[in-house]
Amino acid sequence: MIEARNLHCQFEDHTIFKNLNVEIPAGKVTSILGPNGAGKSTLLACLCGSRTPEEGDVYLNGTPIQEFSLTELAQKRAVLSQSSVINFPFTAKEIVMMGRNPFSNDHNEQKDEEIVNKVLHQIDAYPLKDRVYPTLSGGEQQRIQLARVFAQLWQQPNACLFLDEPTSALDLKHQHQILQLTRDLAEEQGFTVCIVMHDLNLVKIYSDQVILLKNETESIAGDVLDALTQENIAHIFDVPISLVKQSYASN
Amino acid sequence: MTTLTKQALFASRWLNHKSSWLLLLLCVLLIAMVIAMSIGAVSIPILSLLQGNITEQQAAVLSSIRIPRVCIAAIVGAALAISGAAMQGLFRNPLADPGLIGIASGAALAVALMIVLMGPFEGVWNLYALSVAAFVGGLITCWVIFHFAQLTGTFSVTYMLLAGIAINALTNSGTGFLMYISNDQQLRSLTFWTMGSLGGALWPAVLVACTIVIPCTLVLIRNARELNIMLLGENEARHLGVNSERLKRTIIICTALTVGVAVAVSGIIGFLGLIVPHLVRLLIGPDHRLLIPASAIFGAALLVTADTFARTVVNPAEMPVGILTSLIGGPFFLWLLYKQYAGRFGM
Repeated sequence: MIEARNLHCQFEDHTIFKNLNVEIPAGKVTSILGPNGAGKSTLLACLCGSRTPEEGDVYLNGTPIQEFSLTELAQKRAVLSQSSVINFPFTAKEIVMMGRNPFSNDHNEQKDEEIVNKVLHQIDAYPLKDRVYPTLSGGEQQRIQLARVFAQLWQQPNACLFLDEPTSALDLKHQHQILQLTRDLAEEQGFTVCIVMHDLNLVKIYSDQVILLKNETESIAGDVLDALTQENIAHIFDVPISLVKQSYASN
Repeated sequence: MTTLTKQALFASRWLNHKSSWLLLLLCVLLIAMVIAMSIGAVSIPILSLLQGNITEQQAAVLSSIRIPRVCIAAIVGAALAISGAAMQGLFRNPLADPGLIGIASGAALAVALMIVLMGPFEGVWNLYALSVAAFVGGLITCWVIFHFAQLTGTFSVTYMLLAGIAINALTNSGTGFLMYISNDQQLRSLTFWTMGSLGGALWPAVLVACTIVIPCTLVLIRNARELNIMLLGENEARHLGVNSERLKRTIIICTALTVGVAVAVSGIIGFLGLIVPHLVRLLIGPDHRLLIPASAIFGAALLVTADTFARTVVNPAEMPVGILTSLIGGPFFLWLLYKQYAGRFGM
């Protein structure tokens, strides 16, 4: 579970958000939505501990996040950032294997290898394992990075998963497959899942909760069904829309 | 099969694969060193060298000239190659090279300052003093370039290379000015030394270089796993538990030290740091746990060979080996640029 109280972030003179309170419960999928520049990625960076907010506190499972060491934190939470460039000819499998770094002191390379193989099968990327990463397509690279993140938290209790636009380069089939997998992690293993996403349909199908950011002071949070209403969306994104699709949570 | 034996099997397979490459490269290095020892103004046939069947004169040539020279070539080659490998990891781009981005010329400027303004120290301490000066010069330029490369927030190769051009121009003008104001004797040693030569190699140089390069290599190998992860990006590395600030500091200091000592004992020998890690990567992949030791060995073999050529090809005179490495390195760099453009080799 992640809790943030009175968050205040700014870049030089520009305030990104202030007095923001966020609660991301365990065992559920929470999506962060908002127009460009509303501070979604900044919020994600604060929540996962890679950015220290100007004011306010972030708690991971009840403990202030800055009290964890880098390794402790890496064993509890994983982050998928937006695409990163790798200029060296690592194989896809080597990249996924890097996800096991926080556990490298266990010196159990065979176990790590098994985990990596399982994850690769799970996300349907096993055939890519010996391909050279920089030669993969954008979507394939994104799936390998996801595999790395999943491998990092493999069967960790109370883990937190942060994904920044995880489906931006994926085809339709893999978008649903990845988000379904993420949901399963939340439901079956009690992961705390936090996703930044733009696709309202996917948000509606796969999340339990949403956090809508509009600008530095305005935000709306709540259950998908309560918060993702026509009026709220129109207000946050400044576009008139009408909703037609049923939600996952309503089934 | 029990887990334990399976584990042992896995470990031994990995080790075998790994050590076989290192062994092969080690053999190449040994052969290169033996050949280098046998060739020269006084020829010593390889067979009699291996049998120990040599005259007193040959023995004297070997112990006071040729062996220290071959040793220093090997150490400097290893130093340049690992600093190249480490730089490329740090800058997350295979185009980084301590010579290309100005670290070597920064170190050279510091050494030139030392020679012209401070005058020589006594014996071994002279070399240590030059090494320290070179280290400080290398450290400062490395730090400056690193910050320029990060100006845009993400790592920019363009900024790295452009900052390197500026630094190279600046330090070269500094060195040029020092040459201008230096006296005849200083000028001679400066000129010879900036071209990159192993001509002055003596046992003290071997000692100084060993005591700096070997510890640095070990430190880099210890950090190799984390250096791999840094290639994902600095934020990603932190998310995976890597203390990126500490790692960057370690890499920068080790690189400045190894480049510093290489520059102090042999001047600027260009492009080795670019070529060697690249070739090793083609052979055994980009994993730094293997890349760094393999680069060290291969770099040593390459510079021993290049130096043998440099001192025999225009016999009885001697060509600075830096000229030779740049002659090969320049076109190689252009080829790399082309490849990067063509998007092959995953670059």
